[in-house]
Amino acid sequence: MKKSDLIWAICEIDEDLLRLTEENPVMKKRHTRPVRVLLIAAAIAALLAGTVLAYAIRHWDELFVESFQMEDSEKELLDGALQDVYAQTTQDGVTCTLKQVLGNERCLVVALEIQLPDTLETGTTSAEELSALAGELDLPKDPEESGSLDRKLSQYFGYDPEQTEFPDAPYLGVVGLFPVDMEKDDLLAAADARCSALDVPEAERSGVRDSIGAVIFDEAMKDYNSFGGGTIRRSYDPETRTLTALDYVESSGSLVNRPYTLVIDQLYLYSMLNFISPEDYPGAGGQELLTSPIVLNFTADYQPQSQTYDILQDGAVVGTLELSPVSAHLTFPQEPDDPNRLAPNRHDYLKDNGNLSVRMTDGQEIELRERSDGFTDVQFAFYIAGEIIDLSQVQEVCLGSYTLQLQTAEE
Amino acid sequence: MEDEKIIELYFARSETAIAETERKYNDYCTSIAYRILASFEDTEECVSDVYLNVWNTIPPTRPGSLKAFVGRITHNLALNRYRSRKAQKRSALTEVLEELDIPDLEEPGDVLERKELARQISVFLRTLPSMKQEIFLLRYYQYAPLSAIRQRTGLKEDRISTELYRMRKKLKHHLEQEGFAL
Repeated sequence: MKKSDLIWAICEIDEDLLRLTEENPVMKKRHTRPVRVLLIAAAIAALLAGTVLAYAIRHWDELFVESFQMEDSEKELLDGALQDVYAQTTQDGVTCTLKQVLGNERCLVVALEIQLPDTLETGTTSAEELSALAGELDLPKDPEESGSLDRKLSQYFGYDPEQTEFPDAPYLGVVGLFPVDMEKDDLLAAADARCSALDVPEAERSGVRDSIGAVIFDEAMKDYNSFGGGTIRRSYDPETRTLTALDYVESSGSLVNRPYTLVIDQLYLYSMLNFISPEDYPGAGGQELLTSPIVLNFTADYQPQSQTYDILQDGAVVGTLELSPVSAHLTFPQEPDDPNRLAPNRHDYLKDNGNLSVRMTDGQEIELRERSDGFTDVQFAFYIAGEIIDLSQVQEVCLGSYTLQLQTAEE
Repeated sequence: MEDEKIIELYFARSETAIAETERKYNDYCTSIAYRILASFEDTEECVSDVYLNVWNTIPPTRPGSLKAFVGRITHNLALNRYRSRKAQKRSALTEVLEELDIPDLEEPGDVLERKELARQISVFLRTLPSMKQEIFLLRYYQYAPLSAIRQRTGLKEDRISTELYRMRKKLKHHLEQEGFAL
């Protein structure tokens, strides 16, 4: 038998297997017409905004309350930093609502709700099937260990691992939050034009979506030295078919008082079997729910709260710490003589690669989780707090085992 | 038009069947052929041959899936065209051949032996989770680049390469156990 018979034989494998590649061809046909935008400014926004707020404490979305373990006193403290948006759009029967934004100068957190269509057919997977696959994949058996079946089910979906049946659930990809005001029609048209201009054969183009990031970068991102984002919390209620997400963006530049475009282009419905299989992302087999991205526009218009400190070492300023009630940015300036090398004193601070913790005057210690890409070669480190930090009650700040020597920076 | 109706048109010997097949599957056939041939001219000629071939095969054949059927014919015609070309253009297939350590695409061997090999590959694929089946077929049937598989599956390219490596190793072991010496 010749080795190349393998290639010929693969073309003759059972038809049902070949159908696996049929549902969503890898090379999607290029979009030529942007889809009409359906952008609804929800009436509730008008009700909740401004003068209608007669309550002592206004409504905070549960995502914020649970993620930051908020007390009523903290809600009052942060009232100005919270913005009601309640912008809504529907795409392919999927309704996305941007409910509230909590922000400061360099970090912006959004509370999103995504409602799947009632008509969407879903199934369930039994606990036995999941356990069998977990065994086959050799997932960690300790329920507390990262990557274990229990952790995957409870952390992302909020499912109780003791359930006997696990409903199919959605997987939401990256929520893009970009400091630019582009309506969907314009965004897709620009992305389409960019895609067409690429010097690659049409058959090899994967579609207009890949170009959206490049278009936005050209429009708005060049002014930022660093711009990142991620997820704080996501959960899914199969009964109401509601996915909730708390996502954030952070930057070295100011994020307040500017328009934003929120873009979601990855939303799939997965069986739990498909979801637990890979380590990082759900595997193939998901049902794509969007034929066109969800795009929402809003303007960040909240009152940022933050306190900036100089970090001292031997009396000299070696960096800055910008602390807000929900996040922190640590910045170390580049060495002018060698921009690629970290300053020795910076190494001293960062070698523990530890999280940041804030000690309050009442003895309470609040942990902030490091969310930047790692320390070794970065100027900035970004942290999200596990609880609300009352800036007026900060006593000291520690990075790993180091207590930072701080002085309030001059405005 | 639904596939069943198109197939009925073939059986009724209506040339509309070809137009409908082309309308529905031209992009699909083009993408398969282009990945093998990396030439627009050759791809166009190959895809034209596909429709003639389908016309000559249905009837008597009644495919279960018209798309899979058309895709299979496109594969075979494009592979034959690739093999018979004097000057070889580097294509996605070339990469896959290198990955599978196949120095040259030769003429297909004995048909019965090849069908048994295909059956054993199917048996092997059925032992894999659907995600891995799909990765395997995207790479070794559709000759999709890793970037396209990443886009489809959401997996990182390193992870896809690792999965493909493991599957190649397992497939080799499976085929050797079944008496194939590749």
